[in-house]
Amino acid sequence: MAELQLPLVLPVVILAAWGLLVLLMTPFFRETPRGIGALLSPWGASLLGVIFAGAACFKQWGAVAAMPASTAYGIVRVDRFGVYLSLLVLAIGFLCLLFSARFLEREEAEHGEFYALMLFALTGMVLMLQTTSLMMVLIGLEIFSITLYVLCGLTRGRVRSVESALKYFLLGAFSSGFLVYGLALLYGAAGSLMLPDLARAAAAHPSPMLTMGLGLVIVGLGFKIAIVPFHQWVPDVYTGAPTNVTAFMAAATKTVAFAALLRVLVGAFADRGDTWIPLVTWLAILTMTVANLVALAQTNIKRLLAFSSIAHAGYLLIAVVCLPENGVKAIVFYLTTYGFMTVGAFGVAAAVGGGDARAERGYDYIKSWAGLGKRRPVLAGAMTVFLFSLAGIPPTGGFIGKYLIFQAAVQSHRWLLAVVGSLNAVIAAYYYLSVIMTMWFKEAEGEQEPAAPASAGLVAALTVAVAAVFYLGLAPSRILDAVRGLAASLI
Amino acid sequence: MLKLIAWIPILPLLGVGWNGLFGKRMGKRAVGLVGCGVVLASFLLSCGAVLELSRLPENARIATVSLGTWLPLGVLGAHGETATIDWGFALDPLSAIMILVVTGVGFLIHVYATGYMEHEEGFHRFFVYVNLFMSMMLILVLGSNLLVTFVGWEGVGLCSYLLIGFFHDRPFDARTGLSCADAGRKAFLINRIGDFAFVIGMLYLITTFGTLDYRQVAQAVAGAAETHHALIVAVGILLFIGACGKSAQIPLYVWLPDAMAGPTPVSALIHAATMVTAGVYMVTRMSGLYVHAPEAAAVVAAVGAMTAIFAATMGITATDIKKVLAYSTVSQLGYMFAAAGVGAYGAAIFHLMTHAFFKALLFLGAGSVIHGLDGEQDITKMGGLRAKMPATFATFMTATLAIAGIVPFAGFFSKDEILWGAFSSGNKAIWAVLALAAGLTAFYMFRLTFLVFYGSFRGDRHVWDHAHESPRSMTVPLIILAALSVAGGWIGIPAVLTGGRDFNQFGHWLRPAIAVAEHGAGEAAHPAALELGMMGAALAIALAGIGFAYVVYRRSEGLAASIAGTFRPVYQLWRNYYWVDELYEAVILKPFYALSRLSDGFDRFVIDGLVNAAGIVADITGQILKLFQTGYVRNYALLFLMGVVAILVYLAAVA
Repeated sequence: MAELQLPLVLPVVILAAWGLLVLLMTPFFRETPRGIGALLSPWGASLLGVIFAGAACFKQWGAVAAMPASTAYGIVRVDRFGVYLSLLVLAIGFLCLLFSARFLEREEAEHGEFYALMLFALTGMVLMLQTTSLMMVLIGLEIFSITLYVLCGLTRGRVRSVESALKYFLLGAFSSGFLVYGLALLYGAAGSLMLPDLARAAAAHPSPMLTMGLGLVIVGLGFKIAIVPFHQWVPDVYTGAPTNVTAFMAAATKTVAFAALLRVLVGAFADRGDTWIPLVTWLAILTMTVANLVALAQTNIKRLLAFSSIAHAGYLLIAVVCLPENGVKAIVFYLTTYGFMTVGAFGVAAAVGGGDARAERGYDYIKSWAGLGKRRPVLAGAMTVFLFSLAGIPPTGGFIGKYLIFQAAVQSHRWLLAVVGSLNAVIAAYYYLSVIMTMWFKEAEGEQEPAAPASAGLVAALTVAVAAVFYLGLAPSRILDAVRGLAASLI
Repeated sequence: MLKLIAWIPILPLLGVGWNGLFGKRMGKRAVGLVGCGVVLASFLLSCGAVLELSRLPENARIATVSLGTWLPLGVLGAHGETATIDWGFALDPLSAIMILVVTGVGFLIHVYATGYMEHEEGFHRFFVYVNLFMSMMLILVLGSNLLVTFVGWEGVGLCSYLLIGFFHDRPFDARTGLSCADAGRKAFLINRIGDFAFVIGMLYLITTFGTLDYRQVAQAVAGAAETHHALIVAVGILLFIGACGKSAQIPLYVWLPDAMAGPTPVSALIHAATMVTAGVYMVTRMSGLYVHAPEAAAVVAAVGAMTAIFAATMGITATDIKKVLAYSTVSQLGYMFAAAGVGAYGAAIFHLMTHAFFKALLFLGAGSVIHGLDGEQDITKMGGLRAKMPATFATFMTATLAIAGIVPFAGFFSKDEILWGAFSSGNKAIWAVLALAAGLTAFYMFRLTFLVFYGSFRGDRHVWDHAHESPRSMTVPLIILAALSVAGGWIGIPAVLTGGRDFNQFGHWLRPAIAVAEHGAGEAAHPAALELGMMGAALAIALAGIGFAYVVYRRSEGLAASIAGTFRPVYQLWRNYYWVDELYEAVILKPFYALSRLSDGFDRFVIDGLVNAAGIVADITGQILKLFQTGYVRNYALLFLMGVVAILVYLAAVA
């Protein structure tokens, strides 16, 4: 134990150290320079940091192929499940950073700290993904949550942004309370917060204390995932936060919180399915149905996407109660496509709507997207791809994702969930389609301000996202091979 | 060329790319040339491939091409291996007929569209969409497994939606207040309902048999016919619900009449000749499943026959030229399903083909009339156009005779084969319904023809003066389609008409591709005289329909109105299309919206106040206090807490 096990924690170390480095750089840069100089600014440095961390994760990936899981310092655990999702989260962070510089510049909110905070958030996320201790999960979760509270309020001159940060903070703190209390109960029952110990305790003598602890952990993680009825913060926070932060939050937070939920439920509490499977079943049905119904009535694109993200959490919950082998694969694949299409959709929303500055003049409203197909065909085309993918129409990645989830449900004989899920997909198609219709088929009313020209970073991010959505839809075999058998490496 | 079949759908896709990227900067001629050229190339390639296929021995007539693995299914296949799904394409006698019809008729309609759309805005956009449609339709018919077919299936739905909404800003239907864009959305959503059943059916198949490949499914089903009977029936019905959406059968037919909001070439291509027949194609493709699920096949037959007659009655009273044709399409599709349901798959595909010829022709003819009358679609404002548009009239008349089932036009042979199939398989009730529908078909089609081309013009004098025959690019496709509507049926002449010598090439060609029920050998038991008699009866019914139309609409002025007056309730019922749209609105849409508003209201009750409350942000502390005091976050927290309590109570109960 005494030896330094640096390679195993390298991604976290890189992210944290790089975050500090970027923080030190910020006093020297008021804004991101144009041209090649941008690469030497905090923006460029943060991108580089994510790339290095990604490279370290790739190295880990190579290592876990040979040896299923390695632990370090007793609590860090490097396994295929964690490493795969770390890579996904880093990719999401990278794409969001790509288009952040010019976006924040337009919002007049380009504070260098943004980049450092993003790196710290990623640190917390990777930490949370690569551990076997629920204490570490809590620490990772708090690290990224606190940075996200700050990031939501980044455009501090705007009412909505501050409101978003405040509300997220208040409710986040509230939910963390439940999570901590749940952990305390689990510790009381099992004498440890290590997942293998919890698994043993759950299998041996399920005390009421353990069950209650589990319930509160579901609540705490359910808040971050945005499960109904713990979802109400989502539309407000997503709408108020700067759109690039929303993109990151929507895609990455859900991924890491879902990973933790899987480790707890499908990993540690696999033997106690009789207690949580009915519960999660009803949460899934409630989440999908409420979110999709409410989404139908939305007029603001960011709110619509917020409710859509809640609905997707519902679809993902379906696979949680399926047989682990199919369910975990479906979830991980779904999270992959979800990450790219969500970042893409919010990226387009960032370019079209701008942030709060314009939102306050009604620019995030879907009706102002009328005629976008004529004004900005490429942007509208990309958005169409993301929306079709969100709706689950072939040959996009979203289709394969939904297909895998419903297949897992059928294979596990969860007929109710398969039927409710597919019916929800029908409802959801309606509101995604409405946006597409507005963009292509409606004439713009009155004089439209021309949308700001897309920055190179945005173009790059959207290109990658579109390519990923099609790649995952047309040739998903490689990714599916990579995510096969992840269920075995949960704890 | 059999190695190249994957190029058949790819070629139109190249047109999409080219016109999509450069169409805006190219002239209309060049856009039209590219758009038609890629379809022609695809047609020629199809001809070559089919020719090569026909040289193979009968039992070996299948060519498959795989563009690589698409996705692993995550289940074990028939031989214990991990099952995967390929991007696979297969050419067999059934898909051969489909690609020839799709690319051939498609090409003619493309040529026609260069003339028809000439004055419209978004000319290149139109060709991008129709080329995309062609590509998706070809993927649909060439796919070697259900999932690839499903990609095309969704793709054609999407293109259909784009093209219905092409004139998005125009109002479309005064009765229901629909705009063209709404009509497009309606089509898309109703199709999604069907797709939902389709997907569940596919999942059943995967989890039970571990494959979606057509041939493997057929084998697996044959092997498990006894043990999994209920499941096979359920899959058959689920897939058929999907087909009902795409092919506009009861109760999902309501989108097709509204789909007429699209430009007329689109109505001809997508909503008559190709896409709407996809359901019939799919059911035929899955014939190996339906022969082992007689209950599901009976549902198919019953729904088909019901739709055939139900839609025909609505065709009688419609006054929009395209809507008459739309209801007629619904009705004819019902015919095809009825044929498939009674096991006469060959007849279903035969009728699918001849219908593609004459219905495309009818739509294009209608388009020519609309074009010549400057956009008029109401048949009560037409009349006497025979003189102004001789080519359109002659071809339209040919198609009308074909659809009415008059010998020796194409529709006679295919319709007769369906009727005989129903009768000889013992489904006398189906036969009776279809025969009655045939009479109605003849009646409403001749009503249409008489009202449009005979008598005197009832519209605006000014329109009459400007009425003109359409340009060559439009009339030449009409003439070619008219030739096909006459002669297209001759490849399937029943043996009874040729003195027992078998000239039915069509039936022979299809035989290897479709499954036949083992007990279906009852045909030989019927004497030739009976078959001839039935044929004569069908012809007599059609002639009676024509005669009745002649009496009502040519001989006696005002008779139509007085009949409508006498049978007022029936007339109103038909004229308003049984109020099905209104029923859907009241029973499904209204409650649905209400529920949505209710859920939203609940959210708003909490949220809107907060937006208003967040007025001043100068003092963060004050804001926190304010939020706590006025308490909107409190509401969130309250719901949160209620959720926590509910979960804990539940867990306490379980534990």
